[in-house]
This record gives sequence, C-alpha cells and structure tokens, in this order.
Amino acid sequence: MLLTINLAIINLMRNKKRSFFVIASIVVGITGGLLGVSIGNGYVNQLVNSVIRFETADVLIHENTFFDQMEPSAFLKNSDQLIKSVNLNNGINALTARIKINGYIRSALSSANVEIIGVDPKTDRLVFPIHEAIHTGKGNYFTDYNRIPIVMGNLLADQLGVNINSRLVLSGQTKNGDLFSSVFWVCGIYSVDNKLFEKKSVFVLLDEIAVLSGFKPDEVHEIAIKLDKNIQSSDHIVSALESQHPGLKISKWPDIRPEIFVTKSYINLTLNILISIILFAISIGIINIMILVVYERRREFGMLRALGMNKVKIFQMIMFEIIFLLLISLFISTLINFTVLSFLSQNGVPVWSVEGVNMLGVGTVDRIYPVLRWQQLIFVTGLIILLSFLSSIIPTLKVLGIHPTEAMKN
Amino acid sequence: MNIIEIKNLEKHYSEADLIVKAVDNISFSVKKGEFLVIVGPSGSGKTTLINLIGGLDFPTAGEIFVDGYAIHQMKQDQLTDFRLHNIGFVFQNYNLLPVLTAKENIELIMKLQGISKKECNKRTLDLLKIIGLSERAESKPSKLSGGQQQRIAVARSIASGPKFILADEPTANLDSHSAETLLDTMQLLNQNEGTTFIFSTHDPRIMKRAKRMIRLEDGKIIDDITND
Ligand SMILES: Nc1ncnc2c1ncn2[C@@H]1O[C@H](COP(=O)(O)OP(=O)(O)O)[C@@H](O)[C@H]1O
Ligand SMILES: [Mg+2]
Repeated sequence: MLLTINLAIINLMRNKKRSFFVIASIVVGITGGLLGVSIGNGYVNQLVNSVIRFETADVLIHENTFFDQMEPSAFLKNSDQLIKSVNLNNGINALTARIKINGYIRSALSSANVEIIGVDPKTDRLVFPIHEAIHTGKGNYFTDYNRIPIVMGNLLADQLGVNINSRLVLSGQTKNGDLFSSVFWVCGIYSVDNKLFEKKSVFVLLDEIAVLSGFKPDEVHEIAIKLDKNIQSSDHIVSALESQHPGLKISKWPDIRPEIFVTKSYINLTLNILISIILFAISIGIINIMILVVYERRREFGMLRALGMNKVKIFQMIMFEIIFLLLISLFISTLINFTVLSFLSQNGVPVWSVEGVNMLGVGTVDRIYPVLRWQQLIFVTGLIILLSFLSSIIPTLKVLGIHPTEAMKN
Repeated sequence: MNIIEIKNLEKHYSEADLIVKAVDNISFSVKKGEFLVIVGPSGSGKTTLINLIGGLDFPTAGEIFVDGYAIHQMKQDQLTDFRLHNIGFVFQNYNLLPVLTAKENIELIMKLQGISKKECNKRTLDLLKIIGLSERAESKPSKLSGGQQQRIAVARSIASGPKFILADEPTANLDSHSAETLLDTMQLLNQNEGTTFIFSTHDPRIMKRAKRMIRLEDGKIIDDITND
C-alpha cells in the first residue's frame, strides 16, 4: 500500500502542469458546488430561524381544535394555572401567553386581512425578540406610546401607506362571534426574513384586545415556550407536555409551517443532488484523463505487469492518484469557500443575485448569509472517496488489457 | 536439480492464412546455476521462447515446469504472482521506471514482494556495490548510460531472489565495451550468488561467454552445446 501511495504521488508530480490544470478545474467545480450549497443552507437557516424566532418559538400550546376551526372560541382556559404547571418542566427558559384572532385592518389609503396577536410585552419579549426587529426610527415594541398602540410589519405598513403614529382601524371577531372595531396608532414597525409573517402579523396589547374581544384575563389562544439554549431537541419536552396535558395541542415549527419544513427538506435534497452531479461530472473527466495517462505510460504499465505487479496494486496506484487529485482539490476548494464565506457571512448575498432562491420557497429573504455545514463536507469527502474508487475501475481494466510483451516491443 | 523443464513446447501465430510456428516442438531442461545463452538469427524464436519460459505468454501446446510448477496451466493472475516471486527479468529496451532513482528501481520488486524497508535498503546497497554503481544510487535512469541502466536492471532482477533470470537480448542496444561490462556483472553474480541466467543474443562475442549455448532456427533447437 505504501509503495502504491508513493508511486501515485510520484506520478502526480511528474506532469506538474497537467496536475495543476486538472486540480484547477476540479477546484472550480467543487468551489462552485460548495458555494451553491452554502447559499442554499443560508437561505434555509434564515427562513427556519426567522420562523422560530418570531413566529413559533420552540414549542407552542393551543386548545386542541385551534387549528381546525380558526375561531376565537378555541381558547385555553385557566392560562395562569397552565403556565405554572408547564413551567415545572425542566429546560424552559421563558413563556408567554397570547390571544390570536383573525382580523381586518384599514388605513386611510388601503386595507388588509391580518392576524391580530395580543401580547403581554413583559413576557413576550423574553420569548420573541420582535423588539430586535424594529430598526431605529421605526418606533418601539410597546415601551413608549401615548395612544392605543399597534406594532406591524414593514411590508404591511407599506401596503397600508402608514408610518409611526399613523391611525388605523382594526376589526375582528369577539369570543361570542360578534364583531368589534377599534382605533389604534402605529407604535412600531418591524422587519424579518419571514416575509409572509411580516405581511400578516400585527401586535397589540393583550389587555386591549381581551377587552375588545370579550376574553377574561386568563383566557388566551396560545402559550409560546422558549427552551434553554443548551437543549438540542425539543422532542423530549413536547412528549412530556403531551402526556401532562392530553387535551391540548403541542406543536413545533414544522407543525405550524409545514410548507417551510418541506422546503427545507427539498432544498437539502436538491443541494446534495447538485454536489453529487458536479462530482459525478468531475469523475467522468478524471476517468478520461486517467485513460489518457494509461495510454501514455503503457510501456511502464506493461513492464510493471511483466515484473509481477498484480491487478490490486495497479488499481491502488490509479485510485490513489485519483484520490489525491480530488482531495487536494477539495482542500483548496474548502479554503476558498471559507474565505469567501467569512466575507459573505458579514455582508450577505443580495437576493437579486440569486433570484431563483425565493421562488423555490414559501418565505422570502432580502439577503442570504451563506453557511457550510461540516456534515456536508463529510458527505462530499465520502462521495469523493467512493467516486475515486469507482473511477479507478475503467483505467485499471485498460491497464490489465495491455499485453506486457506487446507494450515493451520496439 | 532441474529448475526448468520444457517438453514439446509449441507457440503458433497465425498471420493471414499462414501459421507461423515461432516455437516448434522444443524440449530441454535447465539446471540450477547455469549460465545459458539462446542464440539464433532474427526471427528464429528467441523472444517467443523466453516469454513463454517467463510466463509472459501462453503456449499453444506443450509443458513448462519451473521448479516443479506447471506454469503452462496457470491463469493470468497466478502467473503474475508467480513471476513476482520466482522470475527475474531484464528486458531489451524498457527496464526502469523513469521517475524512480536507480536505487528505488532496484528496490521496486522487493517492495512489491513486501520485503521490509530496512532489508530492501541493505540488499540494494550491497548490489549497487557489486555492480560498481554505488555512487549512481540517486541518479534517475535518464542520467545513466545504456550500459549502466542494464546493470541496474540486472541488479533489480536479482534483488528479489528469483529462481532464475531471463534476459532477452540485454546487450542489443549497448556498445561492445558496455556489453562486455554487463556480461562481467552477470557472470560475477552467477559465480558469487549462484544465480541461474538465461539470456539471448545474436552477438558472437557475447555467446562465447556462456557455458551452455542453445541455437535456434525457425523455432527449432538445432544445437545444444555445453563447454567447460
Ligand atoms: N505477436 C506476434 N504475432 C505474430 N507473429 C509473431 C509475433 N511474435 C513473434 N512472431 C513471429 O514469430 C517468429 C519468432 O519471432 P521472435 O520470437 O521475435 O524471434 P527473435 O526474437 O528470435 O527475433 C517470427 O517469425 C515473428 O514474426
Ligand atoms: Mg527477439
């Protein structure tokens, strides 16, 4: 094995110019593939992060029929007690209770359907960092207001043609099925990557909306839970809550936004296929080059066969030559990728340069911050070793087809 | 003890409608330690015979036993392994890997056999001394003369401890002085290490140095002379 590794290295060095060009073209292919993968990862991560951070938190509790009816009447009773009991579980960082009602908002210029979220700002900001999504000059998250406040997304504000302190009329259904309607003033305007959310979610004070829609102080639609940072998976807590509260619906982000979950799996699969196709194309190129190499060195191979080098050793020699070409290229590509990513992860890729990405998904982002996962590097490395093995078969058969006495004739 | 036994060996080539009997019903045997030359005009079948004995080609008919093993019955892979462990080769033209140094070329077969690095090194340095090329150990073949390259090839073939060494016209591309030097080297190894040599030539001065001479014509043995 040492001998064949040694010969493979020597053979790579003998035609430095060719090795250089082969490696350079593989590097272009792999770097392109890795960058594509990184951009895809960045998009998926941002989308999912945005959903978890601003929309679903880690775990949500609803009344069992909340999603079936979407009626205000599917609410949680005795929420104070429920919160106390949920809080007894380990690993819970913060929780907050919310009223959620479908509604209708109207400005002087325009109107839109919205989801009204009634929040208690003190507890809500511990679970959802909406306050961080409000840029300077765009108001605040219920910390400073004079009149009845509402916080909405930038997209919606644009659509309604409103700004900070603009006056709006919000209407919706009460607990009993009647209609309420009331005046609010814009207190803050947030923007997040999760554009669907930005377009439809408006926040008002829990106390205000409770009064308007006829809910008692301990009647809410949703309890949102943020877990401790060190907790990797929420599965454990979800099943604990399910057994403690069999009548309630316990959900995670994929339950709330299945389309984003599907998009995530779909993009991950697409990325793996993308990099596999690139590596496959590279392998075809390498097979061709190795066939050329075998032809150039047919006398040498003939002699080695005559001296007694068996087919396993011939295979090893060719395979190591291919593996080294690919691994050196992968190494260089990874370095380039990390350099490019360290730049891009600060500045992001503007979405106009990767237009197609937003069409893939159900959410939209302005800028993508690419990331590469080490699992994907391991996947690529594994694939490279597998493909090196497979690519060695045809050139080896070519060598075995060389008749030693013919090869060494004058 | 016979190291090689050949019985009614035939190798036929068909060219168009014509059948060429390159080796035509040849039988002979070789003892351990012999220094045997196969001579004959061009096209008489020397190369074909040597390739058959070396297990590089399959006979049309007949039997070849090397150290009791019926190599004419072996499959390709078996033969490859058998060559590695039992037969040394010195080829006419293309002997050394151009990318390896003289020393690395000598070590090549030993490494293929799996002999330890330390042992390879010792044996190679000894052989380089015997053939008088110690100071060229680190030279690439392209920096060596044709005669020096052939001596390295002889050293390589002997390094792995084969049962015998086959050399098809090893002096064909050498000037007469280099040819004599190569023969000196082969003879030295034959006498000191007891290595069996079988080589071919059509150079009369070289033939004279062999102890036994087999003369071929049209694929047949027409003479088998031993002189002491
Ligand atoms: N591969 C081959 N195909 C057809 N004929 C061959 C082949 N090899 C050798 N011959 C023929 O066999 C005969 C013996 O050739 P060879 O063994 O090379 O003789 P020598 O080495 O004595 O010059 C010649 O007539 C040659 O043309
Ligand atoms: Mg010949």
